[in-house]
Amino acid sequence: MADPDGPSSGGEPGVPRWVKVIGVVVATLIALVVLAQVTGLAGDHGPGRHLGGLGAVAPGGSGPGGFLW
Amino acid sequence: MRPGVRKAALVAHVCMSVGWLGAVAVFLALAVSALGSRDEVIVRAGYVAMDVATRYVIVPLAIAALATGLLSSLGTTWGLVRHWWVLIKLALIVVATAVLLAQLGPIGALADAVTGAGLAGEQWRRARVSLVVHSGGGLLVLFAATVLAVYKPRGLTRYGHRRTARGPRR
Repeated sequence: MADPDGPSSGGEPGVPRWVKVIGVVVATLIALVVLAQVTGLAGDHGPGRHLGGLGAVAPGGSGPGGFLW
Repeated sequence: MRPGVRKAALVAHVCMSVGWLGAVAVFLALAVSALGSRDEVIVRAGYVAMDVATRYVIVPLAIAALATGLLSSLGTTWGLVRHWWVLIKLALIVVATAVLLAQLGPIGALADAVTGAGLAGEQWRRARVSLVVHSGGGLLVLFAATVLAVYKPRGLTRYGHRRTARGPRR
């Protein structure tokens, strides 16, 4: 959120260290997600799953085991 | 923007953003309790409540937080792409909003299922776990955005440096 009092100082030119740290953390997280997708650890979950949604998936019915199981 | 308008926009942005964070925390509590409960009433009520809360509270708050944030940054000297913290916070909020909108389908499907045939089957179990994972991740992202907004770590982007060197625009 922006502060109406405005910025006091921009600091030194170049990418700040805290931005680089965030970049490394985000890159690591993305790599882990990709790795989980490639190795199958994440199952069929992933960003691509959102495209299809669950609306097209057959619910499977309640079955003799009850409502959930 | 005039100082009075700036303050009003900032108040609106804080209210929408913190409201969004709180609403997602409630959603996570519902998702965890519905996932862990074997009581059919709790599970049914949980997924119906999650669907209603998402459509009528969380999504409107997310869009309002994004809109008021754009207004507050573009209407002040902070700008939208001059400071790293503003740029990163914008990216976090845009990604969080996109994931939220992508989750509308699965959440609605779960709500429809609990009022119909039920949630038997592996596919539904995964969908229920997915809601917990997404809302937990969303909570962390919104918390990170709040931390950035409060601490405002220093650092100008290349564009910000150029603008500063040029001086204020007339």
